[in-house]
Amino acid sequence: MRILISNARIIDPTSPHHGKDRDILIDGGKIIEIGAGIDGDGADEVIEGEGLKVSIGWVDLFATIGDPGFEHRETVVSALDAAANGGFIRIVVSPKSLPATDSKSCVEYLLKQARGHTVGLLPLAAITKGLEGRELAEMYDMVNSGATGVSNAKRTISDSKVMQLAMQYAEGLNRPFYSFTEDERMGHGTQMHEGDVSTRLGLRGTPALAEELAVTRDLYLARYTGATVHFPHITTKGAVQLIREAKAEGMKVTASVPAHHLLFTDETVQTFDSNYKVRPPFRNSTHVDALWEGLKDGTLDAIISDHEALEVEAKFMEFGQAKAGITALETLLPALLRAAEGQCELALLIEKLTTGPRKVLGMEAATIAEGQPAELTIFSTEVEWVYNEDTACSLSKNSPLWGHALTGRTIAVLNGEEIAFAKF
Amino acid sequence: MSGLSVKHLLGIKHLTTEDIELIFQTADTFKDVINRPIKKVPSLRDITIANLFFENSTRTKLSFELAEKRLSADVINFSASASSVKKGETLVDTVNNILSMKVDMVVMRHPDAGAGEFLSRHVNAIIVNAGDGAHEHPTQALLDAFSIREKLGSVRGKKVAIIGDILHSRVALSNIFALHKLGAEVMVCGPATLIPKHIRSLNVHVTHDLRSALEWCDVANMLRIQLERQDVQYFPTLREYAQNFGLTGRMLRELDKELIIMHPGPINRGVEITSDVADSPNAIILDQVQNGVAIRMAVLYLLAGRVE
Repeated sequence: MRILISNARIIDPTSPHHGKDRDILIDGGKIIEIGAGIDGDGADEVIEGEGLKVSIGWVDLFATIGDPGFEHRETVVSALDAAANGGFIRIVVSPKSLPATDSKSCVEYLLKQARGHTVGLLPLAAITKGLEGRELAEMYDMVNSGATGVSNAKRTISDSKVMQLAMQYAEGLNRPFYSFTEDERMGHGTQMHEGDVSTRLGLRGTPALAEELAVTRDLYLARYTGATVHFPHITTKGAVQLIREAKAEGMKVTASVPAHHLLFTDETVQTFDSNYKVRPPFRNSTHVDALWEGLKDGTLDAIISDHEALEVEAKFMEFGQAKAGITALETLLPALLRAAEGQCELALLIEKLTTGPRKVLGMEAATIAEGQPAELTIFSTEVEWVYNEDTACSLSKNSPLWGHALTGRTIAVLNGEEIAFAKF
Repeated sequence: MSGLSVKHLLGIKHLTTEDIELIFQTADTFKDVINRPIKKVPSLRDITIANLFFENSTRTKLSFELAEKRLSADVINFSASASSVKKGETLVDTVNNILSMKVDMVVMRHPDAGAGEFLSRHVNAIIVNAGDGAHEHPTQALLDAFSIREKLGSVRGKKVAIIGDILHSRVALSNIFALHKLGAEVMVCGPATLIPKHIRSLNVHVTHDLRSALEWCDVANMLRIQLERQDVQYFPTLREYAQNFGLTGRMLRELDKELIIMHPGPINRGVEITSDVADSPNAIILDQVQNGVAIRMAVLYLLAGRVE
């Protein structure tokens, strides 16, 4: 298949064409020509429009879909459709499902469901059986069956001995080892970030300390075991500083931040709207500023969607009873653009969705150049659209942005020979 | 006609100072009414009120029910433990079922903070919050401030110490909001484990020493220790709590001033306060109970002006 992307601004600091408006010709899944005024005759598909931008295809390091077990929230296929709609060419999927992804057959199921889709699904294998934090799961078996890395979803492994052994055991896998960082007892029964707002609302809060204690412990365990660790959900100022120091020390750690934590603060909870209930919780502006600092100085390698699809019944209820999570894949770009106003350039955001996550996953670096595989996201930072049934692919609507007019939209994603257009 | 700026009473934080003054003036009138031989007025004769209690309550429920009956409203009661509701229908379904029987107002107590605000967005009835989690208990704060006003002439400029379990207390939070709106100063006192870490953001003084709180204040509001709300041990024993944070007659006598003692009830005698304090002339605990009916009558009456 021959595809022409016509007159698009290339956003890729690793490419000599960065910042330039170019035509890109793709054939056989590879970029064969980049230039100006390339003839579209003979192309099977021409992608054109006002203000197009193109970058390396985006990779999400953490999305929860719940298939199998919660297919009413999201199936593998609806999640991958949503991912394409949001600009991703690959998504790393949390082992949280029913059963949890804690055996070879679970990994095989996910890969089988995802087969043939434009977007690649990269399953994370559970570190412990049933994610319960007690017995190690068969991580080698799962990685040999195609798991991308290992994670205990959003369940902290509280038993330090189990965590130590898990780090040591997984070291031989040479795959990303994810550590979710919220001290379990401190987080238990909490509803939001502990601070001035939680005090006014009478909601029990989880302090930033709960994250920082957990990061501290796992950094010490990583020093002891020599393990490589990825911290997917870094949301506090103190945690950013801990990671910064660990990196300066030469430790093999990487970290990422959920996109919505850059946009929203704990003030959003004031009206008890459960769409703002997430784990870890939205912090205050001091933490948000520190997260931006961390992104800019490279402490934080990537931005994740932290997509968590939930049925309406899990959200349409009292704040304390509602489940935590936002369906986030499809609105990541407009959310980030809004959050980044006055904070940073587009190129930095794109780096945290492309080069950063690829590095975390140990993937080869990609760039937009002739001869390279066509793994591209084509998007607009100006298109206005409304996030609703007509534009969404996810089966779930649990987002504070649902029904809102947003600015910035995916146009299409290219993954080799495959192309998927956003839903308009 | 209603002169309140709000449609529902969800929390003190939504009220203006004028709203609170209006409620007090209306409660003054109703207090006269309930001290007359015929204690009933026909004000809410066409109004049906549902009291929905998803959490145990004896006195708040009684007080609301009495207020409703003295206003001649039709009253229905629904009690359920939150856990049994959780297994079955949702809160909105439960309430809509009751509303479809032509109910105008809902008085609700619920274990979750914000339950009233959630409900007010999704059902077509006037909501009165009778306590939501550790968030607000607005009628309690109104009756507390009303009782201080009655006893001291005004709330403005008075110093009120709230003593005990602040962390789990909706009474404390609503009291802080109400007292500030009325121009009082507030201090909270208790073991540090029972005081929210960020409480100073509410512009209150904080102490962990009962004696210094008593020396500072004009009014001491002694909160109940709510053992049933504590999922971990916040203090070692009730004995030690009583020794360090319990108010005794001897302490009162040692103070060189007359202190007003309040308690939202039910009292754990010998824990927060000793019997001689509870039964002393300083204590206005039973006045609070009586004022509670008048305040709730005032709130219901003023909000019912909004029933369409």
